[in-house]
Amino acid sequence: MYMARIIGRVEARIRSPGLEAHRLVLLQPLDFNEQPIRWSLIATDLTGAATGSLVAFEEGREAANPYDPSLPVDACVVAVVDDFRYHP
Amino acid sequence: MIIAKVIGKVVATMKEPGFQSKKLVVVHAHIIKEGRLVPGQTVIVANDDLGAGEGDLVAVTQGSSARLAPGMKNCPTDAVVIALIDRIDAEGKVVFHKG
Amino acid sequence: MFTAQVKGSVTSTSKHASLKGARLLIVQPGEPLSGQPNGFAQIAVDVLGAAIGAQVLVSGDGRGVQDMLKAGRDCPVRLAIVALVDRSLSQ
Repeated sequence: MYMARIIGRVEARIRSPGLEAHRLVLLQPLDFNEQPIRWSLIATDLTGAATGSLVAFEEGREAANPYDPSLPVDACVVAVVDDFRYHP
Repeated sequence: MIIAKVIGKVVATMKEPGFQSKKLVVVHAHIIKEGRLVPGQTVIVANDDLGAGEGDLVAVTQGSSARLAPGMKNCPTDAVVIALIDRIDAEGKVVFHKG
Repeated sequence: MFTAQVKGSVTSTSKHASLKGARLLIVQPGEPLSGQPNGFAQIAVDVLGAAIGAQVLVSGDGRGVQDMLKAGRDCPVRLAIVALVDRSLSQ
């Protein structure tokens, strides 16, 4: 998982069947100094975290694991980060 | 998933059987940078069952998750359009609004 | 798999149910022989009790994570610490 901040959200009326009910959030991945890394991406959200929240997200096939029946998801917010300790 | 703009399509007659009667679009990845929607680095080909047209902004799922889309189980794809984007809010602003 | 150094830890109350009680550590991937940092730090599950500063082996087998956490197939995590590295040597 990487850490990210939820920087926004995505609205889409036409979606792949099964995805209609899921919240799509916009993530900016961060390093553990909270500096932006990589590129922004869209993820589904399992936590209901608000915009501005610090979260952990998973990518790839594992990101689809929570969904049964399965959904074509390659990034998913897995946890809200309450706190972290980092010793560079 | 990535944000991407549809910039074209791929037409092919001779296809792996799993790709028969499947529409393919060319999409250019976009990112949100400093509160703006800007073009990214990559251009890829993706399956599309949602009717995405040139100029549309879409969400694309990549990797082995792409085959989890309806009808893609037997299609050896690694990218599929999963949503046509109407609006994006980022960093407190509307950075994209369709139409 | 890659070797990494444990750099910290993450706490989360609101998370996927499969991660209840799981220890989440920040790991900095490194070049396996020199230990030179390689790429961005990530978050991995730990069931071995790795200490901050420890050199560890991290695997990207999502199935393995599910087994280690005794979680279901719905567990959406890929990385886990699978060994505490004593040393890595060139041949």
